[in-house]
Amino acid sequence: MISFYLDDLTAGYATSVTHYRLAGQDVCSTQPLPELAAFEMSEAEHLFCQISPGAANRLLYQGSGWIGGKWREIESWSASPGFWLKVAGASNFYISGDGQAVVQVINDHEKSSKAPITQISGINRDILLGPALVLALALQEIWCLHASAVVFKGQVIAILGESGQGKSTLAAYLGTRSVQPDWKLAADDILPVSQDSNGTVAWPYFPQLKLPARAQPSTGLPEQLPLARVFISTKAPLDTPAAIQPISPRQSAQALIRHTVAARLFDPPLLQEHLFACAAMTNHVPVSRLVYPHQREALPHVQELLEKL
Amino acid sequence: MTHLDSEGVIVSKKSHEITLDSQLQLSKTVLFTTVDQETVLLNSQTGKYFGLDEIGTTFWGLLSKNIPPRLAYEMMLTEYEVTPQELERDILDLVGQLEKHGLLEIIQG
Repeated sequence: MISFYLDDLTAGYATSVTHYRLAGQDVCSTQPLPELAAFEMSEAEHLFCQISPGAANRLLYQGSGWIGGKWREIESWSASPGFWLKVAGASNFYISGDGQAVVQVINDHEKSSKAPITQISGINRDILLGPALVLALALQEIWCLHASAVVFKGQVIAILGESGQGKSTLAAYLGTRSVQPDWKLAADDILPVSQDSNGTVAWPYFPQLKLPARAQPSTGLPEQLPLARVFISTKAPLDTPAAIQPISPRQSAQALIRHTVAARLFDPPLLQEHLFACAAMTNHVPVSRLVYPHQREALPHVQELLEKL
Repeated sequence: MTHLDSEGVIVSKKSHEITLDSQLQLSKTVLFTTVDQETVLLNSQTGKYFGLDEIGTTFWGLLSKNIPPRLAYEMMLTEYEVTPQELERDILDLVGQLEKHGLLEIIQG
C-alpha cells in the first residue's frame, strides 16, 4: 500500500481518501488525482494520517530531470529513514523508508500565497506521480522500466529504448487492437516489474502520463502478467531486414539497470537491491536487441519476427 | 583483451605505478553481482555501472577473496591460454581502470 498525503501530518488526523490501484498496490490519496481516474477503485474508508518525516541528512543526487514537460533541478536526500525529493519551483516530497507513504510538504514560498492550498498543483502532481511514486515502488521492490510494452498471447513484451529510439511507435503499431487483434498495448513509457517465485511479472496498471487519463492502455488488461521478453530497440540502416541479436546476461542486466526510471535517486542499499533484482531478472527473461530500420514499412516485418518466437 | 565495459569514460592513464605486487582492496563504495560468469559493478558514490567479462570476473573474484594480485596472476596463468606478458599487461591495465573508476583502492604501490 502507498498513501499520498498533502503537507506535514505529524499531528495526525483522520480524513477521507480516494483509492486507486497501481502496480499491484493499493494507493490512497488525500487529494483526488485526475491522472489516475482510470485506476480509481471505490471510495476508501477514512484514513488516520500520522507521519513523522525524518530530517534530510545526506545528498544522494543533484542534477536535472525531465519533470512536468521541462528540465528541472532535482535533489534526492536520504533521511532517517526514507528520502526527500526537492525539485526547483515545487513542494518537497518525503518518501518513507518502507515506501508506504509519500508526503507533499508545502514550502515557505507556497505558504506565502494568500489562498489556502487545497489541491495539488500540476508540477507537484507530476513529481508525485513521477519520481516520488517510482521511488515508493522501488522501496517495495517494484522497479519501473523506461519501456513501452505490448501483450501477446497473455505475456508481456517490453521494449526498452531512449527517447526517439522508436519504442513507442513500435508498441503503438503492435498494440492497435483494430489492426492486430492478438496484440494489446500495455505501456507507452513506463512499465513496473517485480520478481515473484515464478519469475518476473509486469504490472500494466500505471499512469502513462504522456497519454490522457481516458486513453490509459492498461484498461481491460489483467493487473499482473508474466514478462516474457525484453527487447532493446536499436536503429538499423534503412531497408535492412529486422533481426533479433542476443546479448550476454551481464549486458542484459546492465540494460535493465540503465533503463530503470529514477535509479540515480536511490541510496546505496536500494542500489544494491536494484542491482541484484536486475541480475535475477536475466535468469527468467531473455533480453535481446531488436534491430530494425525505424520506418513504417519495417513494422509488419518486426511483428512477423516477434510472432515467430 | 578488454575487461571493463563502462558507461563512463575509461581513462587509461594510471595515477600510480601499479605492479603485481601492489596491495589492492575493493573500494568500500563498490557493489557487485555476478551474472553467468560475468560481473556487473556499481560505484554507489558516482552511480556508474561497469561490466567485467569472464576473465575480468575471475580476477575480481580472486581479489574479493583477498588473494594478492601476483598470486591471482599465477592462478590465472594456469587456467587461461595466454602468455605471461599478455596476462600481466591485461591485469595491470584492468587494475588501472578499476582504480580510476573508484572500484578498487591501491593501499601500497
